[in-house]
Amino acid sequence: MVKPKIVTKELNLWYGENHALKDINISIPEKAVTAIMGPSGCGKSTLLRCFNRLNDLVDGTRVKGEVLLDGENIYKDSIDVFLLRRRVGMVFQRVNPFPKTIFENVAYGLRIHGCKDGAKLEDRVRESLMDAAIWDEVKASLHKSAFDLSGGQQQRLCIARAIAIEPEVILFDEPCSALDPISTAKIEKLIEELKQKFTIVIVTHNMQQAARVSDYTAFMLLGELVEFGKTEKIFTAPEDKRTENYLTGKFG
Amino acid sequence: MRGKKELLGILAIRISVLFVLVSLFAVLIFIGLNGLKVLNIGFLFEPPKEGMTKGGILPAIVGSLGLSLGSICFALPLGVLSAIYLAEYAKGKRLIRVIKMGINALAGVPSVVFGLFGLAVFVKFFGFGVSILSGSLTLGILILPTIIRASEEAVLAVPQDFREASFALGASKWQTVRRVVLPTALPGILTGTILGIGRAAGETAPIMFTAATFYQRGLPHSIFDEVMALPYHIYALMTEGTSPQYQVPIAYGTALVLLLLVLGINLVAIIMRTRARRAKKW
Repeated sequence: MVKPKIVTKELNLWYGENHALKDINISIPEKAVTAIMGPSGCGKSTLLRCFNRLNDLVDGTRVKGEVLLDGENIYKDSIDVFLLRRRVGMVFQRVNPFPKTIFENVAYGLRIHGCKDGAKLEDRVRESLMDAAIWDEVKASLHKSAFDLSGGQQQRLCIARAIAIEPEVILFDEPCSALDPISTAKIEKLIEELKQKFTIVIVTHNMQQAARVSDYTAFMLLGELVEFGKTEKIFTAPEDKRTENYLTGKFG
Repeated sequence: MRGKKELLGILAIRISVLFVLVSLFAVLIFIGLNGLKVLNIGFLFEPPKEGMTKGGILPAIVGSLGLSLGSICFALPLGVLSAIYLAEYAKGKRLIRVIKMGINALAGVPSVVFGLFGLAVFVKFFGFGVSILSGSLTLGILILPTIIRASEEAVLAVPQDFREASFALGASKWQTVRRVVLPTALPGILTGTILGIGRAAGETAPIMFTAATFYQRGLPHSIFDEVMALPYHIYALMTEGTSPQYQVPIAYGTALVLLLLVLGINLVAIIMRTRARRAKKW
Protein backbone atom coordinates (compact mmCIF):
# COMPACT_ATOMS: atom_id res chain seq x y z
CA MET A 1 0.00 0.00 0.00
CA VAL A 2 1.13 3.58 -0.69
CA LYS A 3 2.15 6.03 1.99
CA PRO A 4 -0.69 6.86 4.42
CA LYS A 5 -1.69 10.52 4.79
CA ILE A 6 -4.23 10.23 7.59
CA VAL A 7 -4.22 7.44 10.15
CA THR A 8 -6.72 7.02 12.98
CA LYS A 9 -5.94 4.94 16.06
CA GLU A 10 -8.75 3.64 18.27
CA LEU A 11 -10.79 6.73 17.42
CA ASN A 12 -13.96 7.11 19.48
CA LEU A 13 -16.39 10.01 19.41
CA TRP A 14 -19.44 10.86 21.47
CA TYR A 15 -22.11 13.50 20.86
CA GLY A 16 -23.31 13.82 24.45
CA GLU A 17 -24.43 10.27 25.26
CA ASN A 18 -24.48 9.14 21.66
CA HIS A 19 -21.47 6.96 20.87
CA ALA A 20 -21.08 7.94 17.21
CA LEU A 21 -17.69 6.45 16.34
CA LYS A 22 -16.41 3.20 17.82
CA ASP A 23 -12.72 2.24 17.75
CA ILE A 24 -12.06 3.41 14.22
CA ASN A 25 -8.69 2.33 12.78
CA ILE A 26 -8.22 3.46 9.23
CA SER A 27 -5.29 4.54 7.13
CA ILE A 28 -6.08 6.93 4.27
CA PRO A 29 -3.54 6.69 1.44
CA GLU A 30 -1.90 9.80 0.03
CA LYS A 31 -2.89 11.21 -3.41
CA ALA A 32 -5.70 8.75 -3.93
CA VAL A 33 -9.46 8.85 -3.59
CA THR A 34 -10.84 7.10 -0.54
CA ALA A 35 -14.60 6.68 -0.32
CA ILE A 36 -16.44 6.20 2.94
CA MET A 37 -19.85 4.67 2.35
CA GLY A 38 -22.62 3.37 4.52
CA PRO A 39 -26.27 3.96 5.34
CA SER A 40 -27.51 7.23 6.87
CA GLY A 41 -26.42 7.72 10.45
CA CYS A 42 -23.51 5.25 10.29
CA GLY A 43 -21.02 7.92 11.33
CA LYS A 44 -19.33 8.49 7.97
CA SER A 45 -19.76 12.28 8.00
CA THR A 46 -18.74 12.37 11.65
CA LEU A 47 -15.52 10.53 10.82
CA LEU A 48 -14.86 12.94 7.95
CA ARG A 49 -15.34 15.91 10.26
CA CYS A 50 -12.72 14.49 12.63
CA PHE A 51 -10.09 14.95 9.94
CA ASN A 52 -10.41 18.77 10.03
CA ARG A 53 -11.79 18.94 13.59
CA LEU A 54 -15.01 20.56 12.41
CA ASN A 55 -16.77 18.47 15.05
CA ASP A 56 -15.24 20.88 17.57
CA LEU A 57 -18.02 23.32 16.65
CA VAL A 58 -20.69 20.99 18.04
CA ASP A 59 -21.21 21.41 21.78
CA GLY A 60 -20.87 18.26 23.85
CA THR A 61 -18.53 16.43 21.47
CA ARG A 62 -15.95 14.17 23.10
CA VAL A 63 -13.09 12.48 21.26
CA LYS A 64 -10.82 9.65 22.41
CA GLY A 65 -8.01 8.13 20.39
CA GLU A 66 -5.74 9.65 17.79
CA VAL A 67 -5.97 11.10 14.30
CA LEU A 68 -2.53 11.36 12.72
CA LEU A 69 -1.90 13.69 9.81
CA ASP A 70 1.55 12.93 8.40
CA GLY A 71 2.24 11.16 11.69
CA GLU A 72 1.23 14.08 13.93
CA ASN A 73 -1.79 13.76 16.22
CA ILE A 74 -4.18 16.57 15.29
CA TYR A 75 -6.08 16.19 18.55
CA LYS A 76 -3.13 17.02 20.78
CA ASP A 77 -3.34 20.31 22.67
CA SER A 78 -0.52 22.12 20.90
CA ILE A 79 -2.06 21.76 17.43
CA ASP A 80 -3.12 24.97 15.63
CA VAL A 81 -6.66 24.16 14.48
CA PHE A 82 -6.72 27.06 12.00
CA LEU A 83 -3.52 25.85 10.37
CA LEU A 84 -4.88 22.29 10.34
CA ARG A 85 -7.99 23.42 8.46
CA ARG A 86 -5.80 25.22 6.01
CA ARG A 87 -4.08 21.91 5.27
CA VAL A 88 -7.32 19.91 5.22
CA GLY A 89 -10.01 21.57 3.11
CA MET A 90 -13.66 20.62 2.85
CA VAL A 91 -16.56 20.63 0.39
CA PHE A 92 -20.03 20.29 1.86
CA GLN A 93 -23.23 18.41 1.12
CA ARG A 94 -25.33 21.55 1.13
CA VAL A 95 -23.83 23.74 -1.56
CA ASN A 96 -22.72 26.81 0.37
CA PRO A 97 -20.95 29.60 -1.51
CA PHE A 98 -20.79 32.86 0.45
CA PRO A 99 -23.20 35.65 -0.54
CA LYS A 100 -20.30 37.38 -2.28
CA THR A 101 -19.03 37.60 -5.84
CA ILE A 102 -17.49 34.59 -7.56
CA PHE A 103 -14.05 36.19 -7.24
CA GLU A 104 -14.46 37.01 -3.55
CA ASN A 105 -15.63 33.47 -2.80
CA VAL A 106 -12.39 32.01 -4.10
CA ALA A 107 -10.25 34.83 -2.68
CA TYR A 108 -11.79 34.45 0.79
CA GLY A 109 -9.40 31.80 2.09
CA LEU A 110 -6.40 33.67 0.72
CA ARG A 111 -7.53 36.91 2.32
CA ILE A 112 -8.10 35.44 5.78
CA HIS A 113 -4.65 33.91 5.63
CA GLY A 114 -3.20 37.35 5.01
CA CYS A 115 -2.74 37.61 1.24
CA LYS A 116 -3.15 41.26 0.25
CA ASP A 117 -1.24 41.31 -3.04
CA GLY A 118 -3.87 42.00 -5.71
CA ALA A 119 -1.97 40.42 -8.61
CA LYS A 120 -1.22 37.28 -6.60
CA LEU A 121 -4.87 37.03 -5.55
CA GLU A 122 -5.99 37.24 -9.17
CA ASP A 123 -3.52 34.57 -10.22
CA ARG A 124 -4.53 32.17 -7.48
CA VAL A 125 -8.24 32.74 -8.12
CA ARG A 126 -7.79 32.02 -11.82
CA GLU A 127 -5.69 28.91 -11.20
CA SER A 128 -8.15 27.58 -8.65
CA LEU A 129 -11.13 28.13 -10.92
CA MET A 130 -9.22 26.37 -13.71
CA ASP A 131 -8.36 23.44 -11.44
CA ALA A 132 -12.02 23.21 -10.47
CA ALA A 133 -13.00 23.06 -14.16
CA ILE A 134 -15.25 26.11 -13.99
CA TRP A 135 -13.01 28.90 -15.29
CA ASP A 136 -14.47 28.95 -18.81
CA GLU A 137 -18.00 29.25 -17.46
CA VAL A 138 -17.31 32.12 -15.06
CA LYS A 139 -14.35 34.06 -16.46
CA ALA A 140 -16.66 36.72 -17.89
CA SER A 141 -18.68 37.12 -14.69
CA LEU A 142 -16.10 36.99 -11.90
CA HIS A 143 -17.61 39.99 -10.18
CA LYS A 144 -21.20 38.79 -10.25
CA SER A 145 -22.92 37.11 -7.31
CA ALA A 146 -22.12 33.45 -6.77
CA PHE A 147 -25.86 32.87 -6.38
CA ASP A 148 -26.37 33.54 -10.09
CA LEU A 149 -24.69 30.20 -10.85
CA SER A 150 -26.48 26.85 -11.15
CA GLY A 151 -26.26 24.35 -8.29
CA GLY A 152 -23.56 22.28 -10.02
CA GLN A 153 -21.54 25.39 -10.85
CA GLN A 154 -21.86 26.59 -7.27
CA GLN A 155 -20.47 23.29 -6.02
CA ARG A 156 -17.48 23.53 -8.37
CA LEU A 157 -17.01 27.10 -7.13
CA CYS A 158 -16.92 25.71 -3.58
CA ILE A 159 -14.26 23.24 -4.75
CA ALA A 160 -12.26 26.13 -6.23
CA ARG A 161 -12.63 27.96 -2.92
CA ALA A 162 -11.21 24.95 -1.08
CA ILE A 163 -8.35 24.49 -3.58
CA ALA A 164 -7.32 28.16 -3.48
CA ILE A 165 -5.45 27.91 -0.18
CA GLU A 166 -3.54 24.86 -1.46
CA PRO A 167 -4.59 22.25 1.07
CA GLU A 168 -3.00 18.79 1.16
CA VAL A 169 -6.25 16.95 1.76
CA ILE A 170 -9.77 17.72 0.51
CA LEU A 171 -12.75 16.22 2.30
CA PHE A 172 -15.97 15.84 0.30
CA ASP A 173 -19.12 15.35 2.35
CA GLU A 174 -21.69 13.90 -0.08
CA PRO A 175 -20.84 16.62 -2.60
CA CYS A 176 -23.35 15.48 -5.22
CA SER A 177 -26.40 14.59 -3.18
CA ALA A 178 -28.15 17.85 -4.10
CA LEU A 179 -27.11 17.82 -7.76
CA ASP A 180 -28.52 16.50 -11.04
CA PRO A 181 -26.81 13.59 -12.89
CA ILE A 182 -24.94 15.81 -15.37
CA SER A 183 -23.51 18.05 -12.64
CA THR A 184 -22.68 14.92 -10.65
CA ALA A 185 -20.74 13.46 -13.58
CA LYS A 186 -18.74 16.69 -13.89
CA ILE A 187 -17.83 16.68 -10.22
CA GLU A 188 -16.86 13.02 -10.30
CA LYS A 189 -14.59 13.64 -13.28
CA LEU A 190 -13.10 16.59 -11.43
CA ILE A 191 -12.39 14.44 -8.36
CA GLU A 192 -10.50 11.99 -10.63
CA GLU A 193 -8.26 14.83 -11.78
CA LEU A 194 -7.78 16.37 -8.35
CA LYS A 195 -6.22 13.24 -6.93
CA GLN A 196 -3.03 14.02 -8.86
CA LYS A 197 -2.44 16.89 -6.45
CA PHE A 198 -4.50 16.15 -3.35
CA THR A 199 -5.41 13.37 -0.98
CA ILE A 200 -9.16 12.99 -1.30
CA VAL A 201 -11.69 11.54 1.09
CA ILE A 202 -15.29 11.40 -0.10
CA VAL A 203 -18.30 10.43 1.96
CA THR A 204 -21.21 9.04 0.00
CA HIS A 205 -24.26 6.91 0.59
CA ASN A 206 -24.29 6.16 -3.12
CA MET A 207 -22.33 2.96 -3.69
CA GLN A 208 -22.19 3.38 -7.47
CA GLN A 209 -20.47 6.68 -6.87
CA ALA A 210 -18.01 5.07 -4.49
CA ALA A 211 -17.30 2.39 -7.11
CA ARG A 212 -16.83 4.97 -9.89
CA VAL A 213 -14.57 7.53 -8.24
CA SER A 214 -12.57 5.83 -5.52
CA ASP A 215 -9.38 3.81 -5.32
CA TYR A 216 -10.09 2.66 -1.77
CA THR A 217 -13.41 2.14 -0.06
CA ALA A 218 -14.40 2.01 3.58
CA PHE A 219 -17.74 0.60 4.64
CA MET A 220 -19.22 1.84 7.92
CA LEU A 221 -22.19 0.65 9.91
CA LEU A 222 -23.57 1.91 13.25
CA GLY A 223 -20.40 3.82 14.12
CA GLU A 224 -18.05 0.96 13.28
CA LEU A 225 -15.65 0.54 10.40
CA VAL A 226 -16.73 -2.79 8.96
CA GLU A 227 -14.32 -3.17 6.10
CA PHE A 228 -11.67 -1.16 4.32
CA GLY A 229 -9.62 -1.97 1.25
CA LYS A 230 -9.12 -1.46 -2.47
CA THR A 231 -12.40 -0.47 -4.06
CA GLU A 232 -12.17 -3.28 -6.60
CA LYS A 233 -11.83 -5.85 -3.88
CA ILE A 234 -14.55 -4.44 -1.63
CA PHE A 235 -17.02 -4.49 -4.50
CA THR A 236 -16.10 -7.88 -5.97
CA ALA A 237 -15.02 -9.95 -3.00
CA PRO A 238 -16.04 -8.38 0.31
CA GLU A 239 -14.80 -10.28 3.34
CA ASP A 240 -17.52 -9.24 5.75
CA LYS A 241 -21.05 -10.55 5.39
CA ARG A 242 -22.47 -7.13 6.32
CA THR A 243 -20.61 -5.43 3.46
CA GLU A 244 -21.92 -8.02 1.05
CA ASN A 245 -25.47 -7.57 2.30
CA TYR A 246 -25.21 -3.80 1.88
CA LEU A 247 -23.77 -4.07 -1.64
CA THR A 248 -26.43 -6.53 -2.74
CA GLY A 249 -29.13 -4.22 -1.42
CA LYS A 250 -30.31 -6.37 1.48
CA PHE A 251 -30.43 -3.17 3.55
CA GLY A 252 -29.47 0.45 3.01
CA MET B 1 -76.91 28.44 13.50
CA ARG B 2 -73.26 28.01 12.70
CA GLY B 3 -73.68 30.18 9.65
CA LYS B 4 -75.00 33.06 11.70
CA LYS B 5 -72.16 32.88 14.25
CA GLU B 6 -69.64 32.80 11.46
CA LEU B 7 -71.22 35.84 9.81
CA LEU B 8 -71.11 37.72 13.11
CA GLY B 9 -67.47 36.82 13.59
CA ILE B 10 -66.51 37.98 10.12
CA LEU B 11 -68.47 41.19 10.66
CA ALA B 12 -66.58 41.89 13.90
CA ILE B 13 -63.26 41.32 12.12
CA ARG B 14 -64.22 43.65 9.29
CA ILE B 15 -65.40 46.40 11.60
CA SER B 16 -62.15 46.20 13.57
CA VAL B 17 -60.03 46.56 10.44
CA LEU B 18 -62.22 49.42 9.23
CA PHE B 19 -61.90 51.16 12.58
CA VAL B 20 -58.09 50.88 12.48
CA LEU B 21 -57.90 52.20 8.94
CA VAL B 22 -60.27 55.08 9.65
CA SER B 23 -58.30 56.18 12.73
CA LEU B 24 -55.03 56.02 10.82
CA PHE B 25 -56.30 58.02 7.86
CA ALA B 26 -58.14 60.45 10.13
CA VAL B 27 -54.85 61.35 11.80
CA LEU B 28 -53.02 61.65 8.48
CA ILE B 29 -55.74 63.75 6.87
CA PHE B 30 -56.28 65.94 9.90
CA ILE B 31 -52.57 66.73 10.27
CA GLY B 32 -52.16 66.97 6.50
CA LEU B 33 -54.98 69.46 5.91
CA ASN B 34 -54.06 71.65 8.87
CA GLY B 35 -50.35 71.46 8.22
CA LEU B 36 -50.49 72.18 4.50
CA LYS B 37 -51.93 75.64 5.22
CA VAL B 38 -48.57 76.87 6.53
CA LEU B 39 -46.20 74.57 4.66
CA ASN B 40 -44.02 76.30 2.06
CA ILE B 41 -40.34 76.70 1.20
CA GLY B 42 -39.90 79.55 3.68
CA PHE B 43 -41.42 77.43 6.45
CA LEU B 44 -38.74 74.78 5.92
CA PHE B 45 -35.77 77.11 5.50
CA GLU B 46 -36.36 80.03 7.89
CA PRO B 47 -35.92 80.30 11.64
CA PRO B 48 -38.95 81.22 13.78
CA LYS B 49 -39.62 84.94 14.08
CA GLU B 50 -41.45 87.33 16.39
CA GLY B 51 -41.89 85.08 19.39
CA MET B 52 -42.70 81.96 17.35
CA THR B 53 -45.72 83.58 15.66
CA LYS B 54 -44.11 83.85 12.23
CA GLY B 55 -41.27 82.38 10.20
CA GLY B 56 -40.27 78.74 9.80
CA ILE B 57 -38.84 75.79 11.66
CA LEU B 58 -35.37 75.31 10.16
CA PRO B 59 -33.53 75.08 13.52
CA ALA B 60 -35.97 72.42 14.70
CA ILE B 61 -35.48 70.35 11.54
CA VAL B 62 -31.70 70.63 11.82
CA GLY B 63 -31.89 69.86 15.53
CA SER B 64 -34.01 66.75 15.04
CA LEU B 65 -31.73 65.47 12.29
CA GLY B 66 -28.68 66.13 14.45
CA LEU B 67 -30.13 64.37 17.48
CA SER B 68 -31.21 61.35 15.40
CA LEU B 69 -27.83 61.09 13.71
CA GLY B 70 -26.01 61.52 17.02
CA SER B 71 -28.07 58.84 18.73
CA ILE B 72 -27.33 56.42 15.88
CA CYS B 73 -23.57 57.11 16.03
CA PHE B 74 -23.75 56.01 19.63
CA ALA B 75 -26.34 53.24 19.54
CA LEU B 76 -25.42 51.48 16.27
CA PRO B 77 -21.93 50.25 17.17
CA LEU B 78 -22.93 49.45 20.74
CA GLY B 79 -26.12 47.67 19.66
CA VAL B 80 -24.53 45.67 16.85
CA LEU B 81 -21.61 44.54 19.01
CA SER B 82 -24.01 43.52 21.80
CA ALA B 83 -26.11 41.58 19.31
CA ILE B 84 -23.03 39.78 17.99
CA TYR B 85 -22.05 38.91 21.52
CA LEU B 86 -25.52 37.54 22.27
CA ALA B 87 -25.86 35.60 19.03
CA GLU B 88 -22.31 34.32 18.52
CA TYR B 89 -20.27 34.40 21.69
CA ALA B 90 -22.45 34.25 24.82
CA LYS B 91 -22.27 30.82 26.42
CA GLY B 92 -24.92 29.50 28.77
CA LYS B 93 -28.64 29.82 28.32
CA ARG B 94 -29.14 31.46 31.70
CA LEU B 95 -26.74 34.32 31.00
CA ILE B 96 -28.39 35.00 27.65
CA ARG B 97 -31.81 34.95 29.28
CA VAL B 98 -30.76 37.45 31.93
CA ILE B 99 -29.27 39.81 29.33
CA LYS B 100 -32.38 39.55 27.17
CA MET B 101 -34.60 40.25 30.16
CA GLY B 102 -32.55 43.38 30.76
CA ILE B 103 -32.95 44.48 27.16
CA ASN B 104 -36.70 43.87 27.24
CA ALA B 105 -36.97 45.82 30.49
CA LEU B 106 -35.04 48.67 28.87
CA ALA B 107 -37.50 48.64 25.97
CA GLY B 108 -40.42 48.96 28.39
CA VAL B 109 -39.12 51.94 30.35
CA PRO B 110 -41.26 55.06 29.76
CA SER B 111 -39.32 57.58 27.72
CA VAL B 112 -39.63 60.38 30.27
CA VAL B 113 -37.64 58.21 32.68
CA PHE B 114 -34.82 58.16 30.14
CA GLY B 115 -35.09 61.94 30.12
CA LEU B 116 -34.56 62.10 33.88
CA PHE B 117 -31.70 59.61 33.65
CA GLY B 118 -30.07 61.66 30.91
CA LEU B 119 -30.42 64.82 32.97
CA ALA B 120 -28.82 63.22 36.02
CA VAL B 121 -26.03 61.39 34.19
CA PHE B 122 -25.10 63.19 30.99
CA VAL B 123 -26.17 66.76 31.74
CA LYS B 124 -25.09 66.93 35.40
CA PHE B 125 -22.68 64.11 36.23
CA PHE B 126 -20.59 64.19 33.05
CA GLY B 127 -21.20 67.91 32.73
CA PHE B 128 -22.18 67.86 29.07
CA GLY B 129 -24.91 70.39 29.87
CA VAL B 130 -28.18 70.66 27.97
CA SER B 131 -26.74 69.84 24.56
CA ILE B 132 -26.92 67.79 21.38
CA LEU B 133 -24.44 65.40 22.96
CA SER B 134 -26.53 64.76 26.08
CA GLY B 135 -29.71 64.40 24.03
CA SER B 136 -28.06 62.04 21.53
CA LEU B 137 -26.72 59.80 24.29
CA THR B 138 -30.13 59.71 25.99
CA LEU B 139 -31.94 58.91 22.75
CA GLY B 140 -29.23 56.37 21.97
CA ILE B 141 -30.01 54.41 25.12
CA LEU B 142 -33.71 54.63 24.28
CA ILE B 143 -33.26 52.99 20.87
CA LEU B 144 -30.64 50.43 21.91
CA PRO B 145 -33.20 47.65 22.47
CA THR B 146 -34.64 48.17 18.97
CA ILE B 147 -31.22 47.93 17.37
CA ILE B 148 -30.04 44.97 19.47
CA ARG B 149 -33.17 42.96 18.76
CA ALA B 150 -33.13 43.59 15.01
CA SER B 151 -29.39 42.94 14.76
CA GLU B 152 -29.54 39.75 16.81
CA GLU B 153 -32.36 38.45 14.65
CA ALA B 154 -30.38 39.28 11.51
CA VAL B 155 -27.23 37.59 12.82
CA LEU B 156 -29.14 34.46 13.86
CA ALA B 157 -30.76 34.30 10.43
CA VAL B 158 -27.38 33.87 8.72
CA PRO B 159 -27.27 30.19 7.67
CA GLN B 160 -24.94 27.95 9.69
CA ASP B 161 -23.57 26.64 6.37
CA PHE B 162 -21.75 29.93 5.80
CA ARG B 163 -20.04 29.73 9.18
CA GLU B 164 -19.00 26.12 8.60
CA ALA B 165 -17.59 26.95 5.18
CA SER B 166 -15.56 29.77 6.68
CA PHE B 167 -14.23 27.68 9.58
CA ALA B 168 -13.36 24.87 7.18
CA LEU B 169 -11.09 27.31 5.33
CA GLY B 170 -9.18 27.94 8.54
CA ALA B 171 -10.89 31.20 9.51
CA SER B 172 -11.10 32.22 13.16
CA LYS B 173 -14.38 33.02 14.84
CA TRP B 174 -13.79 36.76 14.58
CA GLN B 175 -12.80 36.55 10.88
CA THR B 176 -15.95 34.56 10.22
CA VAL B 177 -18.13 37.06 12.06
CA ARG B 178 -16.54 40.09 10.43
CA ARG B 179 -16.21 38.85 6.87
CA VAL B 180 -19.19 36.51 6.46
CA VAL B 181 -21.80 36.90 9.20
CA LEU B 182 -21.87 40.70 9.45
CA PRO B 183 -22.06 41.47 5.70
CA THR B 184 -24.81 38.87 5.33
CA ALA B 185 -26.76 40.29 8.26
CA LEU B 186 -26.26 43.90 7.22
CA PRO B 187 -29.66 44.50 5.55
CA GLY B 188 -31.48 43.32 8.67
CA ILE B 189 -29.25 45.42 10.90
CA LEU B 190 -29.87 48.51 8.75
CA THR B 191 -33.62 47.96 8.87
CA GLY B 192 -33.53 47.93 12.67
CA THR B 193 -31.30 50.97 12.69
CA ILE B 194 -33.60 53.01 10.50
CA LEU B 195 -36.60 52.09 12.62
CA GLY B 196 -34.52 53.28 15.57
CA ILE B 197 -33.83 56.61 13.85
CA GLY B 198 -37.56 57.03 13.27
CA ARG B 199 -38.22 56.42 16.93
CA ALA B 200 -35.49 58.82 18.04
CA ALA B 201 -36.73 61.59 15.72
CA GLY B 202 -40.22 61.44 17.16
CA GLU B 203 -39.49 61.33 20.90
CA THR B 204 -40.11 64.39 23.07
CA ALA B 205 -39.69 63.37 26.68
CA PRO B 206 -36.06 62.15 26.55
CA ILE B 207 -34.79 65.41 25.06
CA MET B 208 -36.95 67.74 27.14
CA PHE B 209 -34.38 68.00 29.94
CA THR B 210 -31.27 66.97 28.03
CA ALA B 211 -31.07 68.78 24.69
CA ALA B 212 -34.05 70.81 23.63
CA THR B 213 -34.69 74.49 23.89
CA PHE B 214 -37.84 76.50 23.08
CA TYR B 215 -36.27 78.97 20.84
CA GLN B 216 -33.05 79.51 18.98
CA ARG B 217 -32.37 82.26 16.53
CA GLY B 218 -29.59 80.58 14.54
CA LEU B 219 -28.34 77.06 14.10
CA PRO B 220 -26.24 75.20 16.70
CA HIS B 221 -22.46 75.45 16.29
CA SER B 222 -21.22 72.39 18.15
CA ILE B 223 -22.46 69.25 19.86
CA PHE B 224 -22.31 71.11 23.16
CA ASP B 225 -25.02 73.57 22.07
CA GLU B 226 -28.65 73.14 22.94
CA VAL B 227 -31.02 72.76 19.99
CA MET B 228 -34.61 73.03 18.89
CA ALA B 229 -36.31 69.79 17.87
CA LEU B 230 -39.52 69.12 15.94
CA PRO B 231 -41.54 67.26 18.60
CA TYR B 232 -40.47 69.67 21.32
CA HIS B 233 -41.25 72.64 19.10
CA ILE B 234 -44.85 71.42 18.80
CA TYR B 235 -45.04 71.16 22.56
CA ALA B 236 -43.62 74.66 22.95
CA LEU B 237 -46.00 76.20 20.40
CA MET B 238 -49.03 74.65 22.09
CA THR B 239 -48.11 75.46 25.70
CA GLU B 240 -46.06 78.65 25.69
CA GLY B 241 -46.48 82.07 24.14
CA THR B 242 -49.42 84.41 24.03
CA SER B 243 -50.71 84.22 20.46
CA PRO B 244 -52.31 80.81 19.95
CA GLN B 245 -54.12 82.04 16.82
CA TYR B 246 -50.71 82.22 15.08
CA GLN B 247 -48.93 79.44 16.94
CA VAL B 248 -51.41 76.58 16.50
CA PRO B 249 -51.22 76.55 12.67
CA ILE B 250 -47.41 76.51 12.91
CA ALA B 251 -47.68 73.57 15.31
CA TYR B 252 -49.70 71.64 12.72
CA GLY B 253 -47.16 72.50 10.06
CA THR B 254 -44.38 71.24 12.33
CA ALA B 255 -46.36 68.07 13.05
CA LEU B 256 -46.76 67.45 9.33
CA VAL B 257 -43.02 67.85 8.72
CA LEU B 258 -42.25 65.46 11.60
CA LEU B 259 -44.78 62.95 10.33
CA LEU B 260 -43.36 63.06 6.80
CA LEU B 261 -39.84 62.69 8.18
CA VAL B 262 -40.70 59.59 10.22
CA LEU B 263 -42.84 58.04 7.47
CA GLY B 264 -40.04 58.71 4.99
CA ILE B 265 -37.49 57.00 7.23
CA ASN B 266 -39.77 53.98 7.63
CA LEU B 267 -40.32 53.85 3.89
CA VAL B 268 -36.57 53.70 3.32
CA ALA B 269 -36.39 50.80 5.78
CA ILE B 270 -39.13 48.91 3.95
CA ILE B 271 -37.51 49.42 0.56
CA MET B 272 -34.12 48.30 1.83
CA ARG B 273 -35.59 45.17 3.37
CA THR B 274 -37.44 44.17 0.20
CA ARG B 275 -34.34 44.76 -1.90
CA ALA B 276 -32.15 42.73 0.42
CA ARG B 277 -34.66 39.87 0.41
CA ARG B 278 -34.78 39.85 -3.36
CA ALA B 279 -31.00 39.97 -3.75
CA LYS B 280 -30.26 37.04 -1.43
CA LYS B 281 -32.09 33.83 -2.00
CA TRP B 282 -30.28 31.01 -0.27
